[in-house]
Amino acid sequence: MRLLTSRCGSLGLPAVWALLGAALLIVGCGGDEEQAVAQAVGAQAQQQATEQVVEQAGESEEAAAASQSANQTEDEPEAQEATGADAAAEQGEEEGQSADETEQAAVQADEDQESEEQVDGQAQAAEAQQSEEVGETAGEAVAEGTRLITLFGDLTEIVYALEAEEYLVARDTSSIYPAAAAELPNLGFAGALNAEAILALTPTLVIGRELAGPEGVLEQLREAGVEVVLLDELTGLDAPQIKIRAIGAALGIPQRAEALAQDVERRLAGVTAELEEHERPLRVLLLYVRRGGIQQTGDHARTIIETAGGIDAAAEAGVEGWQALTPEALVAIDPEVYLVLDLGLEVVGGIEGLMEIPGVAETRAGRAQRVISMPDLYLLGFGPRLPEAIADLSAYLRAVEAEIGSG
Amino acid sequence: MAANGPLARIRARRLELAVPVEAQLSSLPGPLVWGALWGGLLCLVLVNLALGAFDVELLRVIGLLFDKAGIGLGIEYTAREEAVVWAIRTPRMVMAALVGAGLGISGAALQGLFRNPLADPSLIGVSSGAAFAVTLTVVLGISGWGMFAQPVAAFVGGLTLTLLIYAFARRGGRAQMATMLLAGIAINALLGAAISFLLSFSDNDELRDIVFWLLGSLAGSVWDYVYSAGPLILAAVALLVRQAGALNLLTLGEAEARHLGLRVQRTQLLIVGAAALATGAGVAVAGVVGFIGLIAPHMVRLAVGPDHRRLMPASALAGAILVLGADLGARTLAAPAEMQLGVLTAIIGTPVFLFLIARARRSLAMSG
Repeated sequence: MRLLTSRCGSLGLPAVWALLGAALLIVGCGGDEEQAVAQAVGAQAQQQATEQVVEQAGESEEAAAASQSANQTEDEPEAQEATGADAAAEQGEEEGQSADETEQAAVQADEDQESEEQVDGQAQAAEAQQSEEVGETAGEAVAEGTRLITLFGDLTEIVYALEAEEYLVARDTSSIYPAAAAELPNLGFAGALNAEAILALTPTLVIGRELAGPEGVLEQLREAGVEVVLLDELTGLDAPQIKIRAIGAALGIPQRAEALAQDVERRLAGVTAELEEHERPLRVLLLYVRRGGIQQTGDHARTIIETAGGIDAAAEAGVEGWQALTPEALVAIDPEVYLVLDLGLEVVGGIEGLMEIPGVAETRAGRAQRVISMPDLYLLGFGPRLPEAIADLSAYLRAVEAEIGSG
Repeated sequence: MAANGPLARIRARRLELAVPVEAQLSSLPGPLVWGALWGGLLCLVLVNLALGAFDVELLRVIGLLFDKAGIGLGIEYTAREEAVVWAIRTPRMVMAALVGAGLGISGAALQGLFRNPLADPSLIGVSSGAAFAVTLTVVLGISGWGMFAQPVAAFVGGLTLTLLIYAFARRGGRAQMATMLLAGIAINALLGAAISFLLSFSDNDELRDIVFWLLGSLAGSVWDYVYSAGPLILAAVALLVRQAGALNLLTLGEAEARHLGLRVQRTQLLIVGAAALATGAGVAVAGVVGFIGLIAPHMVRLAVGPDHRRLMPASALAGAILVLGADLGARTLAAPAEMQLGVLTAIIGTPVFLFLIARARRSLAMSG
């Protein structure tokens, strides 16, 4: 009997790991996350349809404006910014109204409808822009026979933005945007790769981040003659441009990448220029919610919240990096708005589910049910859509500010 | 060797916990058992070399391996096929066999040493020490030694913790195996908690990284790992095989073994050290591979009986077979993704273990 109990103790650890792992595997392998997002969207999509239409109109104009600016000289941005600011102000007002109408102040962005359409607008603008640029970059092309694998969703997204997607042969489980990327063979979690299966796809180039691995697999790929490019983990506003330029260099299309990087930079400048108008910055807390726990997220969150004209409530309260939050810590931080990721919100069962997590309902944000939900990759991917993500967040924050002001 | 006398007494008295009574009831003829074990190992080695996500004709695999052995068969193969078979499959296969053998024999030795059929290598703290060290390096973002950062951390962490536990059990002069067993369980629980604590500070990707490591994987096996971990595991296996006679004596009890002339302290330290070395080197390159150390000895004990001189080599073979089989699944079942080795060893191991227990109970009931 004594032996049995003692054995249970030492079995505990592996058993817990096994369970954890099994759970992760299920999440990881079934990770075609867009479906979840699509469902999450359903319920609220209709309520906000009007709101979205307004937004899309506003934003595609903005995007188009920003893209146009790409072809203009440096003298003109001021005029552009002014129109951009006007548009945003209008948009903010209208949103404020619709938020009032829907009573629930939760503003939900949804990836598959809104941002995709929005990006369609951008894509068109970008195409127009690029077709003009063909003249300069005509001599430049990805080498024939390039077979590319990108690990991590932001990098895959950049490859699509560079219109080099025809060279992609596989992706990791986090690469779910744009929707076409999800059709590619899925290599699973980028930190646990299978060397032989990758070689079976005969890639010539693998682009990932430092976390890709295990190291031995990368080593074997290099030995087999595959070029492996690893980018640093970046959390600054210049992250998209750095990643775009690095990928462009790896693909042999530096000029096209430079054009895109500068486009992102200009859009970013356009977006950030108008952000100083927040009269009353809100204290925002980005929650990484999963069943059974919440965490506040690290530097990515801080960068984007502060740029969008909010205050990172966690950093203000001295909570840095990824940390599990206790209900009391949450109440002590007392944010005015929650920012969550669509997938997380889906997992906990929407706003109702979120409010049931201990502590969440006991803050100012919780009592007023103020939740902004945005697509994971859009908000924290720091890819080519970063300026729009910041603009969106800023607009949502304005809507909430307006609501607080009127209420 | 003087072991013959006491050994006869062990068999006659059949008194010790280390050897379940049921295990002594059935003992298949030697040649059959060894033939099955070696044959099974050889089969799995060949299957592991021949199968994979990358399609390579069997004939080319054979030609390539003979080329590597210096015998040219004149069979053509591409550079990429060579990379797959020689740089990926072969080191991974060798590593699987070595890790499995190390875990299997360590399990058998520790079950004998602690005279407890439920003991396995994780009990002496190697796995949890290694897991803690690796979690720490990932969370703190230490990656100084490149691809050797995690293995070195795991190896050092595992061995350090084992030595600490041994030192604790040794307080007051003589190492108490019962104390060591209990201390090991307590420290395992503590480190499990410490790992969970560290995980609460890790971001999404780090968390996945660690959890995947904790479930074990041979995906990253390169020749460098084989060259660095292989000799350590082989040395430990050789050392443990040489301690088989001493382990037989120890099953009588520490006092009786001492009276029979065994230097008990030294033997215990040797066995714990060798088991920690074999497991630690395995954990370093493959992560935590559960179950093998526990079930491999039980699987073969039914066939070869309780004598450690046969049990230990057989456990090493059985461990190698189990890990080779599990890894074959890990790299092919979910291709192009990778499955985790620990998941597969548990999936294979649990039913086998339950079947063995059920069979043993039946035969015990019939004979009783």
